[in-house]
Amino acid sequence: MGVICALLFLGACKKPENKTGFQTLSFQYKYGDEPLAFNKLYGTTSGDSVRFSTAKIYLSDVVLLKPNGSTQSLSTLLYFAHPETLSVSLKVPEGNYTGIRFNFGLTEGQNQFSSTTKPCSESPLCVDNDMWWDDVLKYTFVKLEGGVKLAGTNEFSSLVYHVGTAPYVRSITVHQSINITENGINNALVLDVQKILDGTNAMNMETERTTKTFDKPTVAGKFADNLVNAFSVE
Amino acid sequence: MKKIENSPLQGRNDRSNLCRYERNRFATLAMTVGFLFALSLIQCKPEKMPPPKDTGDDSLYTATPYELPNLNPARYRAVNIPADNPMTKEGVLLGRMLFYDPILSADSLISCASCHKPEFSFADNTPVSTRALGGQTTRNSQPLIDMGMNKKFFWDARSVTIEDAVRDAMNEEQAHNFLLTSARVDTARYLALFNKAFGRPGGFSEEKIIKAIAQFLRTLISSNTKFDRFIAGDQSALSPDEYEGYQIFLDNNRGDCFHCHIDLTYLTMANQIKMVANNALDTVSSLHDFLDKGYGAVTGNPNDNGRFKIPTLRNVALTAPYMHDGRFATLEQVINHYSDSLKYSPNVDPLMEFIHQRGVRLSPTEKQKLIAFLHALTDTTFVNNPEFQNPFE
Repeated sequence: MGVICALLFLGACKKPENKTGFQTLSFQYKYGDEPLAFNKLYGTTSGDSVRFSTAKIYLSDVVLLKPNGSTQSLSTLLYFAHPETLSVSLKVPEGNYTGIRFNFGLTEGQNQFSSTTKPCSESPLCVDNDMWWDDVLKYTFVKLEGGVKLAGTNEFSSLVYHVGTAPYVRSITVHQSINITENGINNALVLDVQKILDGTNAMNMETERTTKTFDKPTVAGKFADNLVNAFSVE
Repeated sequence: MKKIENSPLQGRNDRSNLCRYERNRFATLAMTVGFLFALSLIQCKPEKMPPPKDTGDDSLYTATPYELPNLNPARYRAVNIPADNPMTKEGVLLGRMLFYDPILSADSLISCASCHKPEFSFADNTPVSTRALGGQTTRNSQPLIDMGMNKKFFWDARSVTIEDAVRDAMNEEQAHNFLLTSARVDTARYLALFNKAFGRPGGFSEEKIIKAIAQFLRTLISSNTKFDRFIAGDQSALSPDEYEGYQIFLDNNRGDCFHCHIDLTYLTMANQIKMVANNALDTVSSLHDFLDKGYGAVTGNPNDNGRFKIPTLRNVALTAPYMHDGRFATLEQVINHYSDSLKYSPNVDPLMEFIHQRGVRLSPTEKQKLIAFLHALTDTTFVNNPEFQNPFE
């Protein structure tokens, strides 16, 4: 009888495990304080105007940071495209996390041609996401396209950032409390495009408004570096 | 002795003799027919064969699956075949006949092939084409090539299936009227084909006409250009000029053609994901000023005005004139447009990166080499394929 009571007591005291279920992680593209809208004009601090028509990005090795310093894997690969792909269903334990860490871009293993033959329902590296370059360069990691109207001019020029290949992968950590309950993930991952183009290391919109990586590697590097500080959790 | 005219016995004997005679005659006839049939199998040319008569004996007929060419899936998109219109040899043959037969048009004068001529990669060689009842189309007739690998059809990308596109073309260009068509259909010629393609009961219907033509269009696949052979590993397939033209085609700072005309590494030679673009053909100050709104008329979004479907470059040397209104008569004019004569409008595609200087500014030699490469995209086996030709000739 005593043994049974002891077992019941121990059982009652056992710390309940965090439930693991499918939750939806939301992603948001913003320009400054407002949600990104395609074909809307946004002013820059230098008096230029920018607008956007394409925004797509790959993030890899995504982990949540636990208070004890360990990590909880969230996904090996995420793809977000505005406006059609801005959430993803992930299997993740409920709990409080202190932040999120991920790579901008693809791992070497992911950056392979064979994935393109899969449909988008099976892999974000699918054909129809239109991120494949060629057999040598593999995938672009980001596509940000639109137009730039320089101050004092009447016409838009192209704004095109296609950045990819291993030298431009960046590890990004966002320290921000993330709370996951049975009701879902109470936070969204946010990319502020303004911080890439018009932040502390602003792009010169006359000379740095385009790169397809190899034609302007310096601009590609600047884009990747600016991206590191352009993410937040809200 | 009086002959008993109506003796049942005599009659039976006579019938018996007659039957024996008929059996012998039938056996001889059957052997002869069988021999002739065997001979015809040896000598027949499928592309010229006359349509079968409706013998009424095909109630249990099962159509024969049609096998598309087995292409490398890493280089060629899979052909989209809807579950409710599987491809069969009988369906493809029927579709081919209907494609070339003007009976689908209101005036019985315009077939699909009137505007989509095989020698021009199933495009038309005039800026616009003649419609049924005497009108003119408003846009250039596009080539019909690799359609099964496409996702949208027409210059304004308004149709999302080949079946929709066929229905649209029949209504718009042929002024199709099902009752008129029904009255004209030679049932002896077509009914057996409809039954063989789609089974009984039912015979002839508008939906089956559309499905059969769509099946034929899915067979129009090109995979045998010099460029196909080069990509497959034959380094000698391209001449030095053609190869240099390919490099210009790929170069961000020279031709920069590939963003719109390569679909990843698929060799469809049109970006099937980007799909539509404003390629700087017209100067307008407002998005509402495009004379032909193109894709914008389909979506209702002014930002889509002036955007048109990106055409495939396969057989581009055969498909003049060019652009949605056929404004350019030659490839030279097309290259001059992209090199030196781009026209600004507020929604010019961002990938037209050199719009600020009105083009990529190619040298005469670069233009010549780029055109040489475009000629390397010609597939003569496609345009000469006997399976694609007019079955009535």
